[in-house]
Amino acid sequence: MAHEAQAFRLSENNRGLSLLEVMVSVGILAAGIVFVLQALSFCAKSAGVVADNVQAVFLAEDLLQRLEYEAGSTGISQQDAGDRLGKFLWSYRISADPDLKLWELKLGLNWESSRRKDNLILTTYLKNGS
Amino acid sequence: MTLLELLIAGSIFVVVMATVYAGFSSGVFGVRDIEKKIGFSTGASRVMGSINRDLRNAFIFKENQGGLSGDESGVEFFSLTDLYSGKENNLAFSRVAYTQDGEKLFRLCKTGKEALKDDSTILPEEISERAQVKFEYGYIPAGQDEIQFKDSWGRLQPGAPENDESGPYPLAVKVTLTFDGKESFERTIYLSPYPR
Repeated sequence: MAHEAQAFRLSENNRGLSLLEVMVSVGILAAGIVFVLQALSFCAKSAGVVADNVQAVFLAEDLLQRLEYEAGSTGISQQDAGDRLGKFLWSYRISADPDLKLWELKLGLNWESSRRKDNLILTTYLKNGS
Repeated sequence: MTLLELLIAGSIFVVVMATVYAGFSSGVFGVRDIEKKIGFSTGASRVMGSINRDLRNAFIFKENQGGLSGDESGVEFFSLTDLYSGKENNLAFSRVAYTQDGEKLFRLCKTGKEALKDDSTILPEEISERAQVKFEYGYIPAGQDEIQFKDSWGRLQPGAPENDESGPYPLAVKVTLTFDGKESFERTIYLSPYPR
């Protein structure tokens, strides 16, 4: 009788995992994996944002160089302009700065990457014939 | 343990292992992809910065000599480049060339008297190992306002006639860098008004 009671207690302690316990464990593991993948996906999106920023700076520099060329050759005057190039929406305003006797150029770029809106705004000065 | 329990346990184990494998493999590929993308961006920034700096400092050596010559895969011109000597940074008179060899992009910079030697022993340095570069040359045709681009500029072969629209330098150089045939970066670099 005493042997049977001891054997029963042993089997109670070593009964293993129930199906419910295994499912809960799998659920927790899956949630962990999803969390890690989400973090990786966030990193991938950030890399995309960096690439877009590089493209935006290239475009801004190109526009500045073009306007610098126009100021040096045909001359520039007060104007607003803008257009879209790929995902980038750019616009600029040239206005006279009477104090400095220069043309003030404000250039803005707007774009969206990974549902995030970004922009780049630059201000510089140009002189006709320079 | 019954056969049914064993089957259920086995199935659960397989599902868990498959999920873990899928998670790790996509994670590893994800990290590689991210590293690649960041490498492309920084590479494009570095290469474009170098080409931009050199082209913006381009100059004419002397009349009818020392203009820019190039085609889709390479370009050569005189430029003022940074020369570090000790603690000082000076501008050096240089002959700069960018050339493509397979997937590799090289920059050759011959400074001082070496710039005028065709048989110089200075070797080009590799500035990108995965970029495919394309150069196009911008000009404004007579009677038009819009800039046009063409695939070559200047005298590539000795004795070949110079381009009609030319002058020694184009108005702008459009540079397209493509990494792994996918990621493309483009710039239109306007040359300083002085060399033309």
